[in-house]
Amino acid sequence: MKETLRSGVRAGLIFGLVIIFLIVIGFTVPASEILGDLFGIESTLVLGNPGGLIIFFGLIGMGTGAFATKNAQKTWLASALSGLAAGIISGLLAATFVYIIATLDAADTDIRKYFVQLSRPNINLLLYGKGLLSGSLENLAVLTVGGLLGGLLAHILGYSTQLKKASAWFKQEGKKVTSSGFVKTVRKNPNAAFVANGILFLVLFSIPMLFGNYWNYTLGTVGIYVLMGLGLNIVVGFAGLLDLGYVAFFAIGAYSVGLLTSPEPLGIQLNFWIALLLAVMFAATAGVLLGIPVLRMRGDYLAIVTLGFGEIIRVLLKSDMLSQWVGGPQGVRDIVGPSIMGISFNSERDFVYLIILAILLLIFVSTHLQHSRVGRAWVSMREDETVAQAQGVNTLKSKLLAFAIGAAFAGLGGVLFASRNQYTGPEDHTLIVSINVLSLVIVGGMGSIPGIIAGAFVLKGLPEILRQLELYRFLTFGALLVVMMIWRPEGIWPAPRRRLELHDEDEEPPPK
Amino acid sequence: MGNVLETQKITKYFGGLTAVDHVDIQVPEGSIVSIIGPNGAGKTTLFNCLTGFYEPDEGNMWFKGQSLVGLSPDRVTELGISRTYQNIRLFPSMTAVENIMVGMQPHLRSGPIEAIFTWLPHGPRERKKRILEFGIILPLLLLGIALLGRSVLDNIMPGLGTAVRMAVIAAAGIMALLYWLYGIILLVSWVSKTKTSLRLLKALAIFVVTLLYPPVLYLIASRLLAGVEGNAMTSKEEERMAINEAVRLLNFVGLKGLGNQLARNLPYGEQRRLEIARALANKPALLLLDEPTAGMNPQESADMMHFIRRLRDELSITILLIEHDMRVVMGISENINVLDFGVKIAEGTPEQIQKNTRVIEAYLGRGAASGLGDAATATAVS
Repeated sequence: MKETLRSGVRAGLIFGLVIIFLIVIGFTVPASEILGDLFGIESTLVLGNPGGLIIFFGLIGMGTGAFATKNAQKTWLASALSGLAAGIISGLLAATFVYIIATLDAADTDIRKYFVQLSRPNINLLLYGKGLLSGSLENLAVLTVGGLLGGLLAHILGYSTQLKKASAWFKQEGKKVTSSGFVKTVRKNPNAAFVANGILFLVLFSIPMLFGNYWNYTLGTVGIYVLMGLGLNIVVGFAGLLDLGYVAFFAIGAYSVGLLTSPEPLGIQLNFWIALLLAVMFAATAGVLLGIPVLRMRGDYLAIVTLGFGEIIRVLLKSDMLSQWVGGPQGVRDIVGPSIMGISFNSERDFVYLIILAILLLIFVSTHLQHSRVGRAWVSMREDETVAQAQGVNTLKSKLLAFAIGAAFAGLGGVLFASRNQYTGPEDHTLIVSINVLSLVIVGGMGSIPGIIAGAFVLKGLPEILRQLELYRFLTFGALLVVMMIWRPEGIWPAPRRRLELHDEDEEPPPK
Repeated sequence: MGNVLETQKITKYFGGLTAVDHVDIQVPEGSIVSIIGPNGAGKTTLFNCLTGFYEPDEGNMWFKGQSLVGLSPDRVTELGISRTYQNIRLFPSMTAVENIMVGMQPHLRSGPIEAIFTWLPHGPRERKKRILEFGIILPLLLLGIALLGRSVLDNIMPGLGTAVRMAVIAAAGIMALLYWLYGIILLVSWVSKTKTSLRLLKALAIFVVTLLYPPVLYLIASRLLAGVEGNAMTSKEEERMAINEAVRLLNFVGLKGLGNQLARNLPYGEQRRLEIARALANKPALLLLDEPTAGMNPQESADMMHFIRRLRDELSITILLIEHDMRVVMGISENINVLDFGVKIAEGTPEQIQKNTRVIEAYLGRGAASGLGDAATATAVS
């Protein structure tokens, strides 16, 4: 009994503070709007959507209740009680907070001086457009009911045990399907792969056709991040070299193509394709040049040095010293796009095709390298560098190769990025790009190529779809990373294990 | 039979501590030699010196007559020395087969280019080919820059005179020309070395090729023709061969059917055997085993002992092992070296070592001679 209440109170306190935090940073406004739109509730207020807010707080309340009952409460009553306690505590915290700020606001205190997001319309939303007391109490009620429901729901679902049962069932059924005669014959048929690839190509070809410029632009951005992710996957995912300055190679690619094709500031005005090759080569060379001094560094030290390298490149590009040659803070304008026989391909759709082509090429290269002597050398280095070297892996060569290939991939991404925007400047190449790419590799699944694509869509695609949450991108980003690290550290789509030893019936693990 | 491995006054200091102190060891070909000694006697440090993990501060060591001093671990491994570790060090999230395939690293040749173009046969395995491959880019790049140089140089260094520009172009041109000549020389020497049946084909190739850029074409032609001659593999064929070999080794160490398991999921004893399989993948002439029976029960130790003997008898691999289990040491060693505080205090056959009073004192402490007597009887019985 005491334990039940304690877990309820603990969950209530945690979630209460989270709610207050969300209120303070103004997250409640876009969240209520999105949920309101989703459920088709009309808003009566200037800002936000009270109906959506009820749903939002209700969901949080249910989360609170579920969290409180997580430690498998035995009886209905205990679950309900801990959920209720959690709901009441978090509700009290939130309601008190709203009451206080609303009172202060009513007394004409300028709250925005301290909390920028808490404007008058926002506070009005938090009170659901009602009076001071009734609005606050409604918050308490919503969260309490939510907590109670969440607790009961968690009890019914039985949480982990039920989920485990369900996943076990899925696995069993899945195995039945994959080992059935039909699937096996399809798999063995060499034409099957051909047909599957054909369908894939058709889909890839038709997707850009279906979209307008805006969505193609978004798709292109995601694609460029896939390119970079594939490159960083080689450096971090395969070879295990934590590179935080990856954006430097992206910048070198982008600036190379910019400086080589644009009329200003150098006026070389090369053909796009030649510039592309040179840019990729420059990026790879830069990868090797960075690689040489950091060869003997491991782990944290390597991360710090590469971080510094990334910043140095950006600062140099921005500096007055080099502005004569690289354009300084203004960057490089009028970058030429690709053209074949005088016909130029400059629409967003054309670039999507080009990017898809580049992705396919890089996937081809990545998978071939991964499943070769080179790829095994990388992975063994990631696992245990000392032993890898003792097994005859030339670690110097392997590291430089990983850096060079990773850099070349990023360079290609940079080329496409710069020529698509017809502009590139120092602000395109900030540290945050490196962090984005690294996060998508981690979230997607280190060393897994389909994982990289999934990660890029989740981290770069979703924020574009949920435009209203633009301001809170980094909040969701951080939350997602934390959640992933706790529940699925191997990533959304972890690298599959290769079965190299073939048996007639190799489905069951051998008895130990 | 000569010595496979020989050390002379190997010494290693850690700060003020002398971990290995002027140690001389001889390992005759085809023998099983043990190194024993109390904890902290410097046995593993000696192994680390032999395999290139540490560089000895003094002394010298030879493997088949070649000095090992100053070689990196990967070079030592390429020469034919493999090792296992006291605390098992597999690659935990690779499968068993992949672990073994990493061990084959020195015998596989596919680089990144062969990995991507799986139909391309390996080129000749000479040093000059590698220089060639590396050097191809540089003259081409220089020539490119020199030709494009007008606008680049004008913009980067506007005040630059025509003379300097001409100098850059000339330097690049001369370099490219020298490289071109080098390519021709290589091509000619290559033709003169081959079988008569293919010589005509090659000569024809050269005639066409000399008009173009010889280094590049030398590489392409030599690779393709090596494929025709049948003495070069593509990376695809090499991979298939490597997998077969890995599975064969897996069966040899008795891990049949466990090839697709992640190394970290294997039970302890099987991890030990997998580590040995990985070491064997290098086709070593000398195998260094660091406490192969650590943590095993008597039955498992006995199995391991037979297995080690099989390695020597069937694969004719010379074995140097560190071991604490006296039953194993006395049972299989032909020669035993005893270290204490980094110094070698005795060497001899098991019988000699058992009677050596200095060893008894150092190893078991004074007054424990009777205990060793028991161990000796036990060995005699088994």
